[in-house]
Amino acid sequence: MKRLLKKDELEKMVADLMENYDVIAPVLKEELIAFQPITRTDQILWDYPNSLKPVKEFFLPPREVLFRFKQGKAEPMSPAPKKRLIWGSRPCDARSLLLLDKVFLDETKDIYYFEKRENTLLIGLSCSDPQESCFCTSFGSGPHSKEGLDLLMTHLKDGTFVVESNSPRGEELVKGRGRVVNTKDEERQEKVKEEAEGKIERALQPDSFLEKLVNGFGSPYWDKACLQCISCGICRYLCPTCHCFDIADEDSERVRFWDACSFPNFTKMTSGENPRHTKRERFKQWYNHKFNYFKQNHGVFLCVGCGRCLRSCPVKIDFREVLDRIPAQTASPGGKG
Amino acid sequence: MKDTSSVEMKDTTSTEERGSEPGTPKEKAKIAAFLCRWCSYAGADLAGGSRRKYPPNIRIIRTPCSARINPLFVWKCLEEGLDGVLVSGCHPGECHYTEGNYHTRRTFAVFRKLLEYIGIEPERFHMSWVSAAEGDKWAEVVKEVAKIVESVGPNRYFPKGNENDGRGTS
Amino acid sequence: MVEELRKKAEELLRSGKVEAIIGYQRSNGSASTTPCFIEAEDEVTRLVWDEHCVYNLTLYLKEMKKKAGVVAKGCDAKAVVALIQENQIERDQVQIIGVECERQLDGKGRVLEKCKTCQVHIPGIYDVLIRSKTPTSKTEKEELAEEDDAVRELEAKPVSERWRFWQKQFEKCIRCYACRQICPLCYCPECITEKTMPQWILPSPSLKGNTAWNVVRAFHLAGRCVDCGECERVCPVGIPLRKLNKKLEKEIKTMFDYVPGLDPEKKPPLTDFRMDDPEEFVR
Repeated sequence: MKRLLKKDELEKMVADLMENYDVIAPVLKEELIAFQPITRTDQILWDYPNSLKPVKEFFLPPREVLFRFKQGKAEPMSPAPKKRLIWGSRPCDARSLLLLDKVFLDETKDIYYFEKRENTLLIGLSCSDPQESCFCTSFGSGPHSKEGLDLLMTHLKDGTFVVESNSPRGEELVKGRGRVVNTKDEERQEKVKEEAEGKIERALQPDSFLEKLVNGFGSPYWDKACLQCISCGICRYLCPTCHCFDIADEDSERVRFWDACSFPNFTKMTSGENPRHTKRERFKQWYNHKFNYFKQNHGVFLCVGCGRCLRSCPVKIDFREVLDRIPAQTASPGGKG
Repeated sequence: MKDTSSVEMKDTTSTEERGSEPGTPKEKAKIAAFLCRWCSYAGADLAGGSRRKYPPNIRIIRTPCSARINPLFVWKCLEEGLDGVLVSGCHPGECHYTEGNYHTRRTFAVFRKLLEYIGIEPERFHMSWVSAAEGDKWAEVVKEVAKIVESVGPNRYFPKGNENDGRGTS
Repeated sequence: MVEELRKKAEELLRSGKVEAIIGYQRSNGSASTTPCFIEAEDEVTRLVWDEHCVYNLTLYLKEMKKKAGVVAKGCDAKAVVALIQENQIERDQVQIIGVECERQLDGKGRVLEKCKTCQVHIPGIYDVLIRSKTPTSKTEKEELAEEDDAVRELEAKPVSERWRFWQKQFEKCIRCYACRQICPLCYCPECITEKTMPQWILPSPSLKGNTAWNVVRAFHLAGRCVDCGECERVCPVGIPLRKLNKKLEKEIKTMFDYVPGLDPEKKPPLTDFRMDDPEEFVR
């Protein structure tokens, strides 16, 4: 069901929701666009490119205590208190959660992730102004995609929003608010959507990446391709779909926290052996995980096209170029991966 | 011989002097002291042997040379909640390894500036030269240092259990 | 300048003095640049030089296994000096293609902070120098006056306020280690943060661990940091790392009269000493 709400009606809605939910929304914090719990509706950014960190941080936090231990006994964490609501997430980030679900819920249910996922409603805000580095349409999403969201809001650029529910939970939230849309509203929504999609000029062919990665696995191409990379963790950490973590004991807490395959220690074993012992292997791993292994194991590419990796790379490595340039080979010469 | 148990331990400072706030547990300021084994450690030993009185706030850690004292040791002490740190070695020119303490001096001349700059009270870090013959000086140094450290109150840089556990909304 | 740069690069490659040139190239058709590694003479046309060439390419020297030429701005060249001082590279293994530079721009087109107080528009060390046609404008005196302002401002605040300031900054840290990875002088094969026995620095992005990491990073660069400002530029969360580096630079200049990156013959200050070093803080 689609309804039309004015901005002040939406703000009223957020204010009402705050009674029952912890509302997390995009705000400007120290010059950075960040999602964080809000206490007032005037903190919300209604028009923003995208947050620096993806909303994955609310499901797989940068640092999370699994349990505490006291005198040899583990103390389980208390269940999460209040229900949460993420307001204004971009469709690309919402899609990333569906991909993370495959990792954390499909085979073995990760209770920490599951609990947060169950406990959280996702309200999306469609993208009206995709950036040059955005390419969500190449990965089965789009600036107006409802996928993974409970509600999707689309700004009609005149202070009114079309709010479309995509789940019973979402329907419940918007019921009785604003008015039902008419055909004219829908036409306008369609126009905004087409305009936004039209701004994403570049279409990628992810299937060609898969083929190139499989065939070019042992290619000497990677020797040179990896040279620019400085092996930091920015692209991995800011990626909404990268989900690798490390676990350590800190003081009396067992914590899990983000880890990145670009770090030498990521694969280093206790014996000192490191299967991915050079930058070349570590550089290649990221591409293979996203566009090769994950596709083969789960049937989808591990990318939503949010473009954060392109925007944040300290040396402006363009992963689209890296993949495009893998030489097409008929067979892999094998050798060292 | 090394520890302060041979020294008569009597806390003569009052709560007010320590700068404790009302409601906080009445605990003495804890100060870590890193001493080089050739001079300052022997000096502290002499102070003990001569039954010199000094405040018991000091926890002594012996190192081969003051140059062995990595600034990280100092940082770790403050991070773990100690109220102050004292680094002590041989007088310049008297290092057992000829020049170790010159390096210590440079290292901590810079490190203390960094600590201060990031907001650690300068009263928490101290350095001294104490020779093996200076038991009296050692007692004096500890007295002074303990008093100054206590004057800035307990270390509250990283309150326990204050870290984000990822359970809340962010 | 670009033509001259390409010509010199081609000469170096042809003469066999270098096997590779590390330079700047356009990034994917945009105005910004990305590092490039050129091994063939006919590829030199990829090289560019303008105000978008921000990276300190000397970073890549430490992992180069062959003789390389590197395009270096004044600030970058200081890093080469430091690397030579610390025996990380041999002077004759590297050809420095110095470029005169006035000011570089960040991704948003603003002049980089470091360029506003720059005193080395012309590299202090080079094998080949590419001069600019427009001479640099500022006088040295003006620049010196501006230099310490950011640090002085913070120093003037009460200690508790400084603590709050830095805690707010360190809280943002996500521990991506881009500051370490981009630094030409962070070359330890194993960083202290990677050591687990004992674990000196908590590995998770906790306030405790973040503070320890940032303190250690800054201190390890004391007397070595050449202020190329790359750490601050790449920090995704905008921690003002140069404010830390500059403070230590200032203290070292005051106490030991040493400025990093100028003299390859000198010993770095924290591996050196003088009998009469300041010790007013020692009891």
